[in-house]
Amino acid sequence: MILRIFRSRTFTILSFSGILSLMACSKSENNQTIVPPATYSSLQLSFSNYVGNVPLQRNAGTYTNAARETYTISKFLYYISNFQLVDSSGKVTTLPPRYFLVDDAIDSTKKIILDSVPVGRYTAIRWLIGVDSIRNVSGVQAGALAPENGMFWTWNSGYIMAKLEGNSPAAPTALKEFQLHIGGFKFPYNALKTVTLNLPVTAIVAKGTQPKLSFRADAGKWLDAPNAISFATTTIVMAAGTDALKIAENYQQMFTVMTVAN
Amino acid sequence: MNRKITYIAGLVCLVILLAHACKKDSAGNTGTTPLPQPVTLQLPAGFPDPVYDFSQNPLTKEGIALGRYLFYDFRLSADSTISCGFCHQQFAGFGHFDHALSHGVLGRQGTRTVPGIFNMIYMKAFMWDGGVNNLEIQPLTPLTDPNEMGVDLKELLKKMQGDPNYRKMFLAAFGTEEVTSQRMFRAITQFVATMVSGNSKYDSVINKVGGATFSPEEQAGYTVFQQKCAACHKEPLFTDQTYRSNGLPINVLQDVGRMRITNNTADYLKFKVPTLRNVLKSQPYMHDGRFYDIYQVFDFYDHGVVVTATTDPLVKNGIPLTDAEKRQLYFFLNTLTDYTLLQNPSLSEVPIQ
Repeated sequence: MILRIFRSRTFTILSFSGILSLMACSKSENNQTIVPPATYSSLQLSFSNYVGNVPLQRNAGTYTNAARETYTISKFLYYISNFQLVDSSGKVTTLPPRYFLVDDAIDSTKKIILDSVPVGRYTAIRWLIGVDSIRNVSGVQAGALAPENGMFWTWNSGYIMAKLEGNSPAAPTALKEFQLHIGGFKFPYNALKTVTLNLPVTAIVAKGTQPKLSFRADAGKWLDAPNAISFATTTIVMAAGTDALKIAENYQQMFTVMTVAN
Repeated sequence: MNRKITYIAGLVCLVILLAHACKKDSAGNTGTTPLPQPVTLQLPAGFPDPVYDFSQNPLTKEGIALGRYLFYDFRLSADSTISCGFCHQQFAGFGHFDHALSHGVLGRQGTRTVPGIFNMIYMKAFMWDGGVNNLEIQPLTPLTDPNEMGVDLKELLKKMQGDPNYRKMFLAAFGTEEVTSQRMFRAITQFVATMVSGNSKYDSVINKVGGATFSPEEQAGYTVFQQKCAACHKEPLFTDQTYRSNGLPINVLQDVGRMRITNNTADYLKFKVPTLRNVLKSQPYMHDGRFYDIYQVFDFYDHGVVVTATTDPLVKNGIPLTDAEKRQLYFFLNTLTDYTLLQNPSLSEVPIQ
């Protein structure tokens, strides 16, 4: 193997002139109607984690699932990404790709700002729970997607889209703990779920304003419907598969809009 | 073939030229850190295009140097005993010479043999079961696996950020002293990308370099190889990168292979076809290192295959090999040893301060 410092001036000059000529081409051919530049503002989303009608209290609150098993929660995390906004005419605006990890243990993760939002009147918001398949196969990522966040499976590459851990007397594990790590981005175990939420009040994104939308995420929904989860039989989920799919179908229902403040 | 890499390097040069131009224009920019120097890989003739996408991680002298240091730094493991290079030994084709199963911190042992890690930029997936889908994230598995380096990634990043030597190297490679996992993995990837093996005697013969020719026994071995082995150990990488059950009976560890990754019973006992390059330097053999001698491998294919529902049709009836053919194969496989990889001084261990 020989390593050699790249020194070909000819090549550099060639690629340079290539790019220049491309630029020239695009200028001379761009005679279409000029679209006025859209004006952008931002949007604030905040998340409050609940179980049923009560705010989630990690390691403190005791809850009961549909299988009538009591449990506590120690960890609750979820990725949200790929945001879209729908306006009153039904037009869908896709926002630049952003990835957020909401961690119940870190308050600062519960408030997120979406910037580069075109001004408009929006009646619904849509996002992906999890990390899209592209980011699952594109090598090492940074920020919310960095591997040290503990949301990436090392032995079978892919993001844990969402994570719920806790304890239940019904769990057959030695320490009575349950660990639900939900992931999978490939057929037939693709656990990616999209959420669409209609806003009770139109969010008006205008220059210099930042509407605030607040949401509730109900961790209890992971266990109830359409697939009732019993900790006696579904205790540890740490791979893509049918259990993960069932829970993803459940948690797709966990978000509700609380308020819209323009 | 080399065009893609050269193109990327060319673009990097261009960007750097422009950046330099900008720097001169904007007074007040201190610009104390010199920009990393682009490096282009000389890739072997006849190889396919690399699978690894260098566009997000262009090779630089400083990036490779950082990756090399990381690769040989035993402090990356939980108890400071195991570096990447501990198991991936250069003289053994970056496998672990004479060790059936991988070793780890606190005297622990893994469940599979250490694969040789060269020509990784050509691989579509990694590990014996193909569970890892990108070269950049491959080191994440051995780093964090409790049976291997067993480190907590957050702790490790903190430790490295506190080390002036690492800060200096991150600055040189990436422009600031910030230590991030992305930078760390990309640097390791850069170093591993330079482990390319395509300069064996076989390559010289195939590419007609310097009048190289096979001896009569090597030539006979090549013919046996082409008839009986090449369907899976496909040239020029000597693997077709598929997952197959070669009829090896399941081991005491009950390792089911790729089935664990795909959840599909059709993948029971399937493992990735390993390369045969440098094979005589990288014993032991098979995913669990059960054979220490290449002749045991020949004998296994000759009369040791145990057929299950997933055994590959190509080996179902065994691969009959006479004693003469085994000897010829041995001589041919010997031509796949690449001393420019095994003895390349730019890949060797570096002192850790």
